[in-house]
Amino acid sequence: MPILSAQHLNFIYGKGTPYEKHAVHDISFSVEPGEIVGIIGHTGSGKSTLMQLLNGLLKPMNGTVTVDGQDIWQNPKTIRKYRFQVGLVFQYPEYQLFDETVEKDIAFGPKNMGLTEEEIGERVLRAAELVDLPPHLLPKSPFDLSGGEKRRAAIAGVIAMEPKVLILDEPTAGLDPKGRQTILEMIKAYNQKTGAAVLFVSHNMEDVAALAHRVLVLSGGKEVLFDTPDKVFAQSETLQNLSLDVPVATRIMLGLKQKGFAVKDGIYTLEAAADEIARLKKEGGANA
Amino acid sequence: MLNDITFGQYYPANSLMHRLDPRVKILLTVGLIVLCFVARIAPSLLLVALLTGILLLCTRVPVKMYLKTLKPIIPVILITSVINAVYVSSGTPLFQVWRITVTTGGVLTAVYMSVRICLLIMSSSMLTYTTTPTDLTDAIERLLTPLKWIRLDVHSLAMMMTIALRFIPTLIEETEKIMSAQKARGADVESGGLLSRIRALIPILIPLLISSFRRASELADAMECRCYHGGDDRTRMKQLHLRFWDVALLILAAVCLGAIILSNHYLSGVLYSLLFGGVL
Repeated sequence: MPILSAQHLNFIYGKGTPYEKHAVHDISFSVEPGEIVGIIGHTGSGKSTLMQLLNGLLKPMNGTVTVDGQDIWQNPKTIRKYRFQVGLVFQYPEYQLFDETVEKDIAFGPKNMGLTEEEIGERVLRAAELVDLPPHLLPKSPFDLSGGEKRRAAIAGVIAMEPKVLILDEPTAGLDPKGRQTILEMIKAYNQKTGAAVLFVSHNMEDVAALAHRVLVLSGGKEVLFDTPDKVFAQSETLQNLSLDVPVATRIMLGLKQKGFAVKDGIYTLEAAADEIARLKKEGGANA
Repeated sequence: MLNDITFGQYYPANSLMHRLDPRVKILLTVGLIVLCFVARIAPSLLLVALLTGILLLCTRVPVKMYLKTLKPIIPVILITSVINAVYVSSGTPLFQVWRITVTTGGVLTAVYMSVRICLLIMSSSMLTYTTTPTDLTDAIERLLTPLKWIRLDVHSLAMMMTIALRFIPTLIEETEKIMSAQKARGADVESGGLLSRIRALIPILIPLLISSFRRASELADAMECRCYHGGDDRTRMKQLHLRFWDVALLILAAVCLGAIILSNHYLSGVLYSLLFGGVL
């Protein structure tokens, strides 16, 4: 059974005003437990709205969101429960830090869940370790941390709730290459250690290629593609028409194909590309 | 929740009012507000209401939008009405509750005051619905230019207003974002007692305050990088010119002001005796 599922979601901003905008248009998809889904689409494609629909921060005009088979809006009074089950990390989450110490800030979510002090303490430590935040930073003020550390502390604040589904909106935006790498590894680690499903929005196709099991492509609030990365990245023309890109490896393979080399389809990581080129060289050598 | 704040929001449309010189619109609005309070008797107040109504229709903004601005001030209207009705004791007594006597004069004052407040709100929203904030501050700056003679830095004042207005939507957006982020961590701002609600605001206000300071310092840097140094010798990209309708409406407003002062003076006696001849 899918852990998270959306059926015919629709959302309109400012309904009935001149600023009306149909941000999410009939979107349906489902995510299995333990799956990593990459969401791509250019600015204004409805990604951020979709994420807020998935954890009940916004209520869809029509359509349903189910978590573990349960309709989250069945009883609006219990909506908070689902916010703990579907953890949402906003873009630039470091701007939401507020408490005196990093530790207290990470504890904010678990505290709201009504857990015991002991359990909260354990979760804070576990979350800090998962995001690679050294223990000596915990008693510091969150505003004294570096940019990358702030980001990780903020993500830890959501991870500490130990959601079954973790959603991240452009988690690597504005970070240096090393900071980016740390965040990506952290996403993978959370997914593997807890078996939680992860959805993440990214503009970086390499990130999507490296992590995602499936890719959801959005454009103008509509669902364009939802498939495995090899199938999605095989449609480079469709993606380019949506001002999106394909990973470097796919681009190399497309170039080779145009030059007449018999490369395989569905290659989107650099490792696979290297293997494929090695294979070609070997075969080419044998033929020559 | 915060999207419900309609007062002071520009409503794009193509109408005579939208195209008017913003200075004229400010003068008209001030004029209407003055008229509301100058009109002391029913016919002059009706005239003001009629004038406001005509101007409102000229804006091509749905009437619904104006009614919406009245909603938040209903309590104000109710309270002033009750106070007026209770404390004004002219005219004949109508009925008595406990030791409080309500008189015709009291009821009339209450009605007048309510009409005035409604007109005041509607005419000021007419200004903000039809004028963009930048046009508005630009016009204010020019209308206040004479105050330079008393060494008031009109330009800085206008710039501060422009920036403040410019950042209201940004701050609202930021507040919503932070609220959503904290709600995603289970923050509960909508239930609980007063004290717990106030405490629930801390996770929202602190990040908001910090980001406001950050924005302010970034903006100051960006302005300095573009050599901003205040109002001296600054030229304008958009020059304002008075056109036919601007002048026509200003004259019309002046005529109305005169007419209402006159009608206050001459009609009051006639009308009062006609309407309340028996009771007065």
